[in-house]
Amino acid sequence: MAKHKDIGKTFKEELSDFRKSPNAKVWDKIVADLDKKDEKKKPLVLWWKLGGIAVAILMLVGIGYKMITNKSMLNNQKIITKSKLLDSIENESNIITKVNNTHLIDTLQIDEITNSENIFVKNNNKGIKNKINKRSKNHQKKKVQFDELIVVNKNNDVIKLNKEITNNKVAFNNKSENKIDKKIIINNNISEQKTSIKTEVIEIVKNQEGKKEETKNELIAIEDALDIVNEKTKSKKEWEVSVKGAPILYSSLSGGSSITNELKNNTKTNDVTLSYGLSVSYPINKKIKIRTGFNAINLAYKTEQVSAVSILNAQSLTNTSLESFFVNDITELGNPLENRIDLTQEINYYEIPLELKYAILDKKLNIETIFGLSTLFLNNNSVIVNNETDLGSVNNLKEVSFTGNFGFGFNYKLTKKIQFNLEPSIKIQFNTYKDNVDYKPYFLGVYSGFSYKF
Amino acid sequence: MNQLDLIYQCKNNNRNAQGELYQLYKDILFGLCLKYCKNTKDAEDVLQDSFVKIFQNMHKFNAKGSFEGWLKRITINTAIDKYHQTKVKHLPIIEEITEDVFLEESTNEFSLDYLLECIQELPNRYRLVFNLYELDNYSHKEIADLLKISVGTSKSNLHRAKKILQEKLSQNKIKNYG
Repeated sequence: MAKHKDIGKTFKEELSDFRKSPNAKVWDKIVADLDKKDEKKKPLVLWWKLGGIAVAILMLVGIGYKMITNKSMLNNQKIITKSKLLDSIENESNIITKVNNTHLIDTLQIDEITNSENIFVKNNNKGIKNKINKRSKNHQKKKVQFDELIVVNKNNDVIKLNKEITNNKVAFNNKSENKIDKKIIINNNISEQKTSIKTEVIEIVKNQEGKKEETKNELIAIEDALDIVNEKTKSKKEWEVSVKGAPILYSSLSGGSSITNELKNNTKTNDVTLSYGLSVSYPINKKIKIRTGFNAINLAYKTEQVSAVSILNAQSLTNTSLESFFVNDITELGNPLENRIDLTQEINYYEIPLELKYAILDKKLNIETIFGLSTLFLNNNSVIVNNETDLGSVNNLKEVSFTGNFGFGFNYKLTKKIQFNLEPSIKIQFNTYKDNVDYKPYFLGVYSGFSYKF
Repeated sequence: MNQLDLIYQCKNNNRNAQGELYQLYKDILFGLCLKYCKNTKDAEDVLQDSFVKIFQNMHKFNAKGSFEGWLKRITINTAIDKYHQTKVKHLPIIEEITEDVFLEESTNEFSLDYLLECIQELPNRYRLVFNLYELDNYSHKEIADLLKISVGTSKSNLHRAKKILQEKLSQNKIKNYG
């Protein structure tokens, strides 16, 4: 009787180790494919590396530019040509007229602008509301609220002051009808900033030399006063330079080991290390500051009770003198298969952060939330056995990597210029390793230091 | 160069090392491709795609498992990907599995090329199920997950594949000896 055999078994016996050589062209195609993919990858890697540097440079340039433009703001305002001003007034008045015919037509007297010195006070909600008529014989107390003040003086320079002094109150107050003495009060309440700049009083005593002269002096006085207000407002935008240091605790979100996945279950102890550096911040507005700087960071953690066998195959240690260590040193300590060692990894980075600080509380104690990114440049790394023998460096750390940063800033004003800063923060690293070790590192630090406002 | 060195060099994108690795494993993996594909051309395509994947994912290989096993898994998955791309949906569906499929035993009766031809001529899904289950020891559950079919379909496809193979081999016997 013929024996029966499962057909699957038949095929398995015959074909399980079936081999055949492919056409030689296949390898050429593989190489072509790999070359193509490498080329696509290269610019990406380069972009990652350059990206971090570019962001930092752009930011510095941006801040520098902002500073320069701020300085020249007043100058620029003087360059606004009269025709442009007239255009803008005309356009706006047309629009406003459409909305509400009852407004302002009587106030827009372009002839007056061209022929004489004038002050226009513009309120954005209501259009050009008032022309302050200096020729009025009725020198009674006037209070005008405005969003924008336009001054045209005799030389046709136009000074347009806006935004910076939003919601300011201007009062023209004639002390006495007879003496023609004038007092200009600029009461600056910058409510948005919740900071009050005290009332500036400028007193101008003039001889009665005719109304033109009077107007001119008045204009100069207003200009001066507004300059002062502007200075005050501008002085809020202060550079701040800080020096700081922090104890750093280095750990992983996922447990694991950065040296090799074989060590993921070993006990790790985290040495407290140090980070220190300088930072510069600049206010974008009242609430938000942008910050960059330069820090040096030392990180370290120790993996305990490492067996020799578990790290002999660790790819990240290929470049280290591990092998000679095991041959020369560890054998003296006993059987290399049984011997246990402590492995400490030390990493040293330079960090360039780019962060935003958002003010939650702005009193004598100022509280901020801080978030942003840092670019880390690998400076040095080493693996040390039993705190004494340096094995060399691991090869799986990327030269450039990044962190996502989050923290709180507590700043206590010691003087007007000097603050004490305390910043607990967490920085989570990404793009750290070349291989896929199961290690998601982060570091915690409580930065403390002092900052100085310029 | 030992295997670990070779793998390390390949991870560093060293083309010579990659060439050496290809020479070492091309025959066994091409054999695998031929079993999983309907013809030589498809098998070459799968081999090419597999090696590209292998070199690009080299960093994911951890030295724990067998390297050859890892290479084979990538190759099989690539073949399955190709099947998904060119899937023909209308296959006879579930049928009752009533009997085991046996073949009268007589050894070395069929050439390897003929056996391979029989497998290659199977409908695509039958071929994959048969290969995965009988030659590469996958379970019906694993096959069902990989091919996105039910366990029942996997079982019936296997049975159907075996019946087809049995018929082919019997016919061939009759031709030769009848």
